[in-house]
Amino acid sequence: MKTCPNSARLTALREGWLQPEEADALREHIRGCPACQQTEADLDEVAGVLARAAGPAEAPPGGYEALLRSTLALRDLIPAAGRKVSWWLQRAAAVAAVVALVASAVLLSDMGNGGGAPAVELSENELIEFLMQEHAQAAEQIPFGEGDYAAILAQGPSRR
Amino acid sequence: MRTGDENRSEVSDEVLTVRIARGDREAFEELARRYLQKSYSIALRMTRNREDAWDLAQDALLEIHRSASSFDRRYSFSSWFYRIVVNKTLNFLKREKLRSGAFAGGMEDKFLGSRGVSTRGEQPVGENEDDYPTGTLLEHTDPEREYERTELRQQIRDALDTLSPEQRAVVVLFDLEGFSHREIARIMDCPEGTVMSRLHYGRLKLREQLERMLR
Repeated sequence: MKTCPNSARLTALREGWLQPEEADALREHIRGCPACQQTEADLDEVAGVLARAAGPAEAPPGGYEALLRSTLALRDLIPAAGRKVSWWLQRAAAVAAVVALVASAVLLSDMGNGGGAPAVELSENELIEFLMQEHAQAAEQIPFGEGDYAAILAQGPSRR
Repeated sequence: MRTGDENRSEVSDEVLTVRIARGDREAFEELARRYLQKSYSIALRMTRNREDAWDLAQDALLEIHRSASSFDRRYSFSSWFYRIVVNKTLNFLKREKLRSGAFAGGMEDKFLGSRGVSTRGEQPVGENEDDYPTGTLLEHTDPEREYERTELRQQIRDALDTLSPEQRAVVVLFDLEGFSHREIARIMDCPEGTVMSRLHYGRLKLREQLERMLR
């Protein structure tokens, strides 16, 4: 082997990933090549440093048990694996939410009229459409991500 | 005579995954216990931030719960799971890179200052001695050696920042977490030659960064 090999082969040699014949040929090349000898020495040095730093990483705040508890609590918030909420159940939940919103809007509207405030005239269909839009926007604006739920759950129940 | 717990610990990861897909909550807890530490460790070493590592490890574990039914039992669970951890972490790092525009070129850690001082109001990584679990490598009580080790880890963390996310993943998995190059190829879904190349050039780049310390 007269020309230098792809230098990544030196890492493969160091880690024992080469076939014996290829490894022998590469060792022979290195014996006569100062540049490859230097690269090999550099690799030995950095691999040695990394080996000294290996070992267990720092534990998370509160330890691994806290991370596990938090993960299990989050798991309880999402549907079980492979299960989906049925189309009919979703539909029923949406209808129930709209009915509740319409009822509360009508109640508020009545209270407003009682106080002398001018009432906005909306047809029933317009009112339902408006409330459904409001409901959809509110659902999109939930301020918590999964991490926030985890943080809250990790603190445990409120002691008020 | 074996206890029930001993029998339970012999259940394979793949069998537990099938049980999770059927809604077995204890199976999920068992599997999460097995992979919690390693997944957090990988995420922490790649991101350098505890909050991010917490979120990423947690999200990966929850992915088991979400996707257990789609797990292909012909493959190893551990490779499948670590692929989830690494992919989520790589995606996170790439998003962060896009957001900050300063990954390569010696970026100072976004959340940890040059001396590991947190700017998020949390304790710097590696500076709380209580954080170190009692493993065989750390059972000695020589404070000088412990200090050197902490310093060394800090310098390696700084140097790791200069690698590309893929190089960093390979160096962390191979040199710090002890995975074989074949496992890494499966986890990262790439040829073994690519793992070899990323490890090689990643190590050489680290060597450059650590030169002052090595002199």
